[in-house]
Amino acid sequence: MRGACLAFSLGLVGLLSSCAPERGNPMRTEPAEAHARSGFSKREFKEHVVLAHEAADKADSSKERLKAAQLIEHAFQQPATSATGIALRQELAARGASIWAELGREGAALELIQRGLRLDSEPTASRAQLFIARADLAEQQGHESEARDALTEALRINQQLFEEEMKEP
Amino acid sequence: MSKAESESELECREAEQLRLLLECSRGRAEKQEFAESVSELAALAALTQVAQKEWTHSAGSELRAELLAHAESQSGQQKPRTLPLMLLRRSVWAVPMAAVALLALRVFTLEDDSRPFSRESGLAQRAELSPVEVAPGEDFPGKDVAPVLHPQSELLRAQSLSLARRAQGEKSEVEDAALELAWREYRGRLIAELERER
Repeated sequence: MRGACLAFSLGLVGLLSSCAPERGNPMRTEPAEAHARSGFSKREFKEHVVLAHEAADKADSSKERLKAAQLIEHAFQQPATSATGIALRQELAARGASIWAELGREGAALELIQRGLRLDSEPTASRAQLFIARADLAEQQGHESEARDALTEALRINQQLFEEEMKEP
Repeated sequence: MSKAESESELECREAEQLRLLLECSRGRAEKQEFAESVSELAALAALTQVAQKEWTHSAGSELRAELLAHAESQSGQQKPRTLPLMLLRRSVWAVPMAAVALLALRVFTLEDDSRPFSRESGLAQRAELSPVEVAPGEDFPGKDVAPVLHPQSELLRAQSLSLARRAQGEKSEVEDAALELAWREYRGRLIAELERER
């Protein structure tokens, strides 16, 4: 048991060290003027998100999946940096990674997951979903230990969020 | 020993492991005892049987009844979700205890698990359960502990159940479909929140 815990800890350190967040306080909402400077439009971002998910919902053929993955990548790249924007982008990354993995593009899947994780280290359902996507990918690649570490991290985040809900009146 | 006898003996051992696990969750047993007695995955596998298995041996069905009674005893004074969350707080046993809690939650909220698994049935099952709200006096075990959850809680719960299943080395279409649906609902909420942001 102790050995397993140590192995898990070491694995998790490696996994997490590659996923350091890009920015500081994750709950801070960027000023509207910063978005304006970068050409960011909340309405456009929302449209990209909806369009990407719709494409993913409808995708049956490989060609449609490829198109959906590309739309997801495009929506993910929008500089939405509020907590809500990041949650949406991280979920996009998790979904996009699943599609890339289905298409056999494992490198693209891993890259998207890592970019999603780097957006923010705040424990959120979206971040947990990224670890689930990471586990799926590792499983597909036959990396059982990595898959287990990722699942455990997802579960840890999930529990933490439950704990926080418990504290709410 | 006949096959039936052998299966019965196996059930007895499983039931004993489950009892130990339940006692651990109540803080009665020592951690070391837990560690020596049942591995994390074995515990998960055993707990699934509480929720899903038709027990032929009385020990299993008694334990299941005990688990439900324990949950009901909590319902009068605490929030419905308190039982699983109470177990989640035992951080030393974070992973196995979370699984205990999640699967216990499953016992309380998904009584009928006998239908065949499929994406359609999973979605239908999920739709029937949402929102999980039970009128007072309605007659099924765990009636008072059925939680009413808001979208983030629904998502967390769906994610938890999927994770608990995955921790057993399984992927369930029911849980995956439920998680997908929960995400769909939560995403709608996030998009609405995005529109409200200034």
